[in-house]
Amino acid sequence: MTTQRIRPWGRAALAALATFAVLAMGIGSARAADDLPLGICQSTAQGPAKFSTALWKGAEIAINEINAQGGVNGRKLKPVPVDVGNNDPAQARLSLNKAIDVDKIASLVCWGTNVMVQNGPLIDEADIASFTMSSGTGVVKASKLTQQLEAVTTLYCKVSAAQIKAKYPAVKTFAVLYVNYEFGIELRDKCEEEFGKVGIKLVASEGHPNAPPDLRAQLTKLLEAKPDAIYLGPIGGGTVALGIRTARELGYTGLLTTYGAGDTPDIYNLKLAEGNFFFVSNEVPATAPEAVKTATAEYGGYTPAGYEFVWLTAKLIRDTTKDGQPVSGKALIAKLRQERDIQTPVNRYVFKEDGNTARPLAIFTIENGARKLERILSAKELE
Amino acid sequence: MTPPPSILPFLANGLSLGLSISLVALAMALIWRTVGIIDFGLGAVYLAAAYATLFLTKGVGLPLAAAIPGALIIGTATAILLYWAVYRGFIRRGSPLFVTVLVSISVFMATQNLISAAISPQKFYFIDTILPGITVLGTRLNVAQLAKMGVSLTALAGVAFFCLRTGPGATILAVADNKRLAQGVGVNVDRAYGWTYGLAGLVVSAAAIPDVAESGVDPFVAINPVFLALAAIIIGGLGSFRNPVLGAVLLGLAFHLAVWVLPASWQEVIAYGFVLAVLVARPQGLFGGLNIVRERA
Repeated sequence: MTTQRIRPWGRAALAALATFAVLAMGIGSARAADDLPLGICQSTAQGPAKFSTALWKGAEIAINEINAQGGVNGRKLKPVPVDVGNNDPAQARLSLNKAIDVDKIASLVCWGTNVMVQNGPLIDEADIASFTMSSGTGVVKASKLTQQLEAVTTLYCKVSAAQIKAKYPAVKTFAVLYVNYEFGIELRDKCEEEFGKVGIKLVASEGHPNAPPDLRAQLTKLLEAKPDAIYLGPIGGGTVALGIRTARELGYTGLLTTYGAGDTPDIYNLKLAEGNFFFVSNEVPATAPEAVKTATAEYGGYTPAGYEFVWLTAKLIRDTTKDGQPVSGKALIAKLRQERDIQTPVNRYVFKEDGNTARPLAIFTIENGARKLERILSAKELE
Repeated sequence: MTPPPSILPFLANGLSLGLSISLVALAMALIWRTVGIIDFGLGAVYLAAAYATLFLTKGVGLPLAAAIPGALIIGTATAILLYWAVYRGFIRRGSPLFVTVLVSISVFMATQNLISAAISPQKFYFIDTILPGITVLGTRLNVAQLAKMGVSLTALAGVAFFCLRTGPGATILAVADNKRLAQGVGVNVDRAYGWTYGLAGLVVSAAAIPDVAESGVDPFVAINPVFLALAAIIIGGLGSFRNPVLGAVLLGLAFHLAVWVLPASWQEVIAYGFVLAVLVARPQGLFGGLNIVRERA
């Protein structure tokens, strides 16, 4: 075996590296002690990128506001991106593990049925308070520390069905075009149930892959069934736009509707969405902070959710600390459900013990490149 | 039992999708055969042409017809620039295929995410009303679809003409067929690669413009064309530049005919099952095996 001697410049480099590593660890732990990191799911994938931007922008507004006032119990809030890829549970698990172990997040806001169901046990084990958007009903069963902020598959279908019954009485049949994974399938089934309750019959349904190359085959088939309305159930805004365009190109003049996936600038910018189309999404009342209203108009309907997540986390941490409890997921979620009826600067929520939430929703159409509020349904009405 | 709907609309739309895929497949095949790179970075070229069209129409206010030449030039220039600034160094160092593939994927992903971060992940439209169209075989094909079909056939003929009737085209064919021999007879390989990238960039840009006229422009709009193009090459083979085009048409038809009888949830099962079946039965592609020189002879 030969022994190689380290040259003087090599020793100096190693010493510098070791010093840097020690300093970096020190800075890292000092930062971890001072900051209050909050996990915010993010994605650069085709569908989710659009609403993840809105979620981040909303969270940023609240973080800046709270930090400008001195933070929470003297600790500055720090957003931590948690990359979920293309709603990929495995990718989400990797990012979540890092956010928990390295960044020490105190709470999390995320979305996606598969992401949240498969990572629910991890969230409970790490004792993180988590909030979820745009998910199916299985999410709260998979995690005791997760509060569902919008159960798309039940609540949104119910609201859409009621709106169609009230405003489009001629609609007797409908079809569903859904993203072909558990969220979309649950959306199809729940919409069939909720629409059925008001006498609107499902006559056809077709699935499509996430980010499909086109939707012509699916819509050609759905149109064979001559539905009076078509419910679009994709992941993100781009596919809603493609669905609207293709349906209209193929000569469909009936009603098109969707959930919060329609609440992105992708749809606001589409002139074709201005006729015979509505979507159900989050309300931003006139009393909401000006910055939230402006950012919602620019980035879409997930903006207030990001804002409210940070606001709620800050409030819960202050309250539990005042009660003499440690900041833990269990304590934060217990406090949330104990208070139950909470008015944020944007909306009023009823946080239920089973993890579900009654929240205000609104019906929107599109006009002049922006969403147009048609009707508000309060949390009480929807409860 | 309900009878299946007419097959004709599915055939028409499948053909349209296939010919649309075929343009990027043709460009990718040109580079693969000639330069030896499986170039996912063509996604960046696609995005350059798409955003150039958007900028020239919505930003500068040009009519679409006037914006198209500008977008074609920008897309073509982007392809040539990528070759000179990025790939050339790796090729000169003799980097293995997997390295250049990784480089090209990085180019695509970095461009996509740069646009998302620096501009916006949102979708923008330069045509946001119903596109004019005609009814063909029981379905309505819009002007963008018809343009894609026309451009695809024109591009195939154009590439054939360029390669067979022009000096730079002849150098592309010579290098594609036998690089060492071409070098031996004095062909400037580096220049031939530059011409290949220029030609591929032009074809990809010609694919991007009608595509995004229909679907809008966002940073993710190139993912499907690039990856479906690769599938088309696997199906058709690389034996001649015509083969990926045939592969793309078969792939487009597979996507649409799968939905004709079966529920649409089977669409990708059938389409990618088809790719798998081709790989098992004919690893060289359905139409692969002949080299260009023999075909020309």
